[in-house]
Amino acid sequence: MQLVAGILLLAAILAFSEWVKISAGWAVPAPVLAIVILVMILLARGAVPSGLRRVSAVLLRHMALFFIPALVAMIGLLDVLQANIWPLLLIIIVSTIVPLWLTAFIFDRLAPRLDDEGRQ
Amino acid sequence: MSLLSLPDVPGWEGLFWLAATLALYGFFLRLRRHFNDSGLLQPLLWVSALLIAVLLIGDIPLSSYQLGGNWMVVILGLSTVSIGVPIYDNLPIIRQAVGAFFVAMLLGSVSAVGTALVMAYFLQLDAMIFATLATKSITSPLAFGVSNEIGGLAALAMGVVIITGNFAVLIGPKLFAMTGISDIRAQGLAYGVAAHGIGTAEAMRRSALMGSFAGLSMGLNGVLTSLVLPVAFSLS
Repeated sequence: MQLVAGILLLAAILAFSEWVKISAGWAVPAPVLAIVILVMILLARGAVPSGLRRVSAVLLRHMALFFIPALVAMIGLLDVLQANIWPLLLIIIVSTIVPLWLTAFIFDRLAPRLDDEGRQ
Repeated sequence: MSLLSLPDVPGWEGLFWLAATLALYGFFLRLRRHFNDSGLLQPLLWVSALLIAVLLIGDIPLSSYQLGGNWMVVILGLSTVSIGVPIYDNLPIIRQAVGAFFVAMLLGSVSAVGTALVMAYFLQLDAMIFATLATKSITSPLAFGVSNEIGGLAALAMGVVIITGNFAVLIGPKLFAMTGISDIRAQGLAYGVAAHGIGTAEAMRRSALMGSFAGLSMGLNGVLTSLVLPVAFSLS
């Protein structure tokens, strides 16, 4: 029952977010809105329900699995990609390495240190 | 028509692809564990490449695969929402570094869009690809909508976003080791900004703290970019 309640909560929040997005015509994506709503519910409740904790642990550990169909769908894009493959690859390589390093570097310099237990 | 009509189930075709995807994913999880968690053995990348190869060689339409695959897209939505759980758990740690978080996220985000657009300009790519690249650093479902607003090609945006995410996850561990950045908060934040959903999935697998920084920066970065880009393109 707790597991069902956990899945229900996630699905209900996502459905509500999609509805808000469509009826308000927002640029904000529904999943992002849904994350915000979930965090607010948890803050109000002061704890994570055990069913939700178990469901989310499984979903998050295997998130990469659920991305596979999106990658397989790229099969329909092979033509467009092929036509511009070298400039696109060059751009992707540079514009991935730069922000990946820069973001981590700036945070590393500015943020207070963490000790081994994840506390400051 | 029978009195008892059941909804359509995906049938053997959809179930076959669902099973094949799960089996390959499980196999690559084991393979990666066997090779000490090697960064090159990303199950997402290899399983997708193998499935694409099988579909191409067998001349099988994508719609056949999607009979099973679409089930997983629904679950992807649920797992995205559940990023809220580790964010809630780690709120005290996030709060303590909130200034550094925003500065790093904003500059990182500007550098992601900026390097892509400057290079596209000098390589003289056409306007459609130019607009598509601007959406490069947003979560995949989000890149779709924004790219349409500014005149890019939604499908191409999705492709670029996915390649970017995979590339970032492949080089991330090496890059952070080479540059001596060991703070997992910094790494998570960077994955969220530069590698969106796929980066967040990887960060979440590594640790809940890294994952919550990734999820938060992915979300905030995506919202900011989706609000700023259409305005910027309408001005130009």
